[in-house]
Amino acid sequence: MEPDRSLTDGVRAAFLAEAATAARYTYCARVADIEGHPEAARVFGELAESVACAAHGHLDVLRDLLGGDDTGAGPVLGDTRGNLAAAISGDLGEAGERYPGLAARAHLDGAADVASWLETLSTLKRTHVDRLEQALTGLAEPRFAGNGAP
Amino acid sequence: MTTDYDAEAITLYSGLEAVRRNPSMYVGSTGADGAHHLVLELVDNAVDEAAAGHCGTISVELHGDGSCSVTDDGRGIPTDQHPEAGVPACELVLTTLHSGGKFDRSSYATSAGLHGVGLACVNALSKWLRLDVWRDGAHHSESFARGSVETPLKRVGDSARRGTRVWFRPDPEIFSSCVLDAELLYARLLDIAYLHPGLRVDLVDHRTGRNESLCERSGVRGLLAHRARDAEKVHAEPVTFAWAGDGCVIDAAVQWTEGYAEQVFAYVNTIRTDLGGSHVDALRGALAGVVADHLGPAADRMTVVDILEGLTAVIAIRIPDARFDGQTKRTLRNDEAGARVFDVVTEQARRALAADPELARRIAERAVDASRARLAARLAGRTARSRTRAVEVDYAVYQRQFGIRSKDWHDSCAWLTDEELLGKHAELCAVPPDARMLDVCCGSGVVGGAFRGRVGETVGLDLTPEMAALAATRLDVVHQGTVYDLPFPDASFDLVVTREVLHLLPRPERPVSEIFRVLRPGGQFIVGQIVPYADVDAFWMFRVFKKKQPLLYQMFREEDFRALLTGGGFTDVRMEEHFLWESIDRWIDTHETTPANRQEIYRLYYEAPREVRAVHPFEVLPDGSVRDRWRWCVYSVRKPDRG
Repeated sequence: MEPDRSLTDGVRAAFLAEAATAARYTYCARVADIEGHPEAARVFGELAESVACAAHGHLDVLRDLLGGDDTGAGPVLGDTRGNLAAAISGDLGEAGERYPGLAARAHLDGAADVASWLETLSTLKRTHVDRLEQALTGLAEPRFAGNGAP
Repeated sequence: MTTDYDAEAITLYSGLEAVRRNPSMYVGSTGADGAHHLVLELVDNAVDEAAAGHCGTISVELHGDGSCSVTDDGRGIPTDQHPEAGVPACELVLTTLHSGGKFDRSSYATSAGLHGVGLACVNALSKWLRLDVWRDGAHHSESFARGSVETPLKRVGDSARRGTRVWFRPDPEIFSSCVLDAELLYARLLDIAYLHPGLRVDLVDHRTGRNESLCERSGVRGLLAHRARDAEKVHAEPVTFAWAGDGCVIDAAVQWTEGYAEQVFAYVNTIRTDLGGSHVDALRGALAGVVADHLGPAADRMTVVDILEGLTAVIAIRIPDARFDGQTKRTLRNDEAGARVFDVVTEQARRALAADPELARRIAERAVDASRARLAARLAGRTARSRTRAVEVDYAVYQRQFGIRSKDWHDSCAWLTDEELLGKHAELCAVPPDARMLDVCCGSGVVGGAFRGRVGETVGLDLTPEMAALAATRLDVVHQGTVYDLPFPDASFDLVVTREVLHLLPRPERPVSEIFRVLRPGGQFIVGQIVPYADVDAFWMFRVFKKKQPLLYQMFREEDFRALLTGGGFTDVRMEEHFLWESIDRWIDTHETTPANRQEIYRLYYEAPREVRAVHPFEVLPDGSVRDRWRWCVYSVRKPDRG
């Protein structure tokens, strides 16, 4: 059955929002902690856990709705091989386009420090591509070699 | 305390292979911290004896073979047969997790040790351990190896002495470093001596001959005076809070200083709770609330961090059933204890401020100053950024910052005056002895000064008049001016040196080309820079350094820095690496780092991603302080000779 595009798109958008919220709440918890509001820090911290869990729940749903196939609306969700390939493609885009583009923009705006920050991320993402590629290559190697199996 | 402390008082649970299998879970780490934790665990057990009123002297000895012994004159661990286990009670305590006098509350009311895993834990993680007990007119001894009995308990002879000695060697199979640091232990023993007025605490280091004997009587007030001994005080006398009731005791002393850091030394049942918890949150909250009330509407734009800037405080509480996060007890989790601290401090602090208007005025002024400084720092970051479109740098921002820092420039971090690092720069020097050298952005002139004897003339340049004045004591001539537009004709120098400067400049290519210009053809440029270890820690270092220094504009990787130099026309690149441990606590205790940023920097270290930890060595010490092993790259490059 063809998945409902508007539903998957909506859930995908909700996933992105929840993932962002989880990161933001974790950050806010630290700010609250440092400002001396332990109760607020605890609330943010606990909500962040639930929200991260909810974000994963959205991924469960997307995985079911999409049946492991890319509908063209975003990266594949499926088995580890597909996830690694999707992650590589995502990080390549960030390393090669997003961050260099943003850094150039920051230079144009005269924000040298922001440009330097974005360049460190472009660099980081390149190392991530390497690690993901190694992991993908590792998947191809036989795991139970040497036990007498053919 | 209430009942007899004998074999029957020892409660029996289960085995301890788990400790050797997963030591970090019990002692926090398998590095040097973990090995020290074993000693402190024994000390804490002795302190429990003292707190229960049974022990007057604790002695820690560090022996030449790397072993350590902790001796007390307490009741001695019971040596009689345990009724259920059929082995001596002391053996049970040393070989079984969760067996101790601390599970039922009759033997110890407020105990410090690790909930009874303590002794067994130390035994499990020791290559060997020897126990001596003096009790009931006899001396007993037993020895163990890696947690198992080696020589069963035997009666050595009669003795009128009383007490326990545990002598052990941390197991090198478990700990990556077993070397015990006397200074670190001394710091903890000092805390104990202050928190237990009248208790004698000795430290003997047989390796160095060091011999310390501590006996303090002034309590938290004395501990605070010791902790804040070098600080310039906002008010002469500390404010103290004391309360006792319901089996709890609260003792605290606080004093605002002119320093930037907020330091709270917190203890629960004598254990230092490095990561705070409910008692610290309550103390901070209560103090901030009382001061804010006193300030009235003036406090509206202030944060808690503003009000508490420069605060040094000691809080020691004793409570039954203290609950902590994790085995190493670094965060207290008892909400009711927090609520009690909050009420006590609020009430007593309010009274103290009301009774002493001069004290109230000084504390209020300190808070106002801190909030002004924070707003000014934020403004400085913004101004510097908005002016960077062209090369219009707001020099006033640099002048203000480094002008203030010039007062205690050399105290602001270790690297500034580190001889070895300076030597690395000077060693690269390859110019004739009559060469003319320029130390650019010279600061106090130490870099240029390191070239004395290798060059004929030393010239300095700095933007800040205060720094230029400092440098004049080390260099022949010092000019005031900017590196974006060096006030020298072309080809005036044989050598230019600088260090840890270019990352603070929005357009570093411009200063590099200026340096190129003022060098004679064939001239040498020597420059040192802190760089990340790899591609994966650069982004993290950017966050740390940017929070420390709002004027940071670049996080150069090694290859970026090299490219900056070669891109400016320099050739013959040579690079020497030098690794230097820097105290982050000291490095961030500075005017340009806001109190909130200081806290965030600690968190960045505490919670550093695993990818970063894998490549970038740093240490979080048991008291929460941080040392970072910085990677310095010192470059030598040449301006090509026309010939």
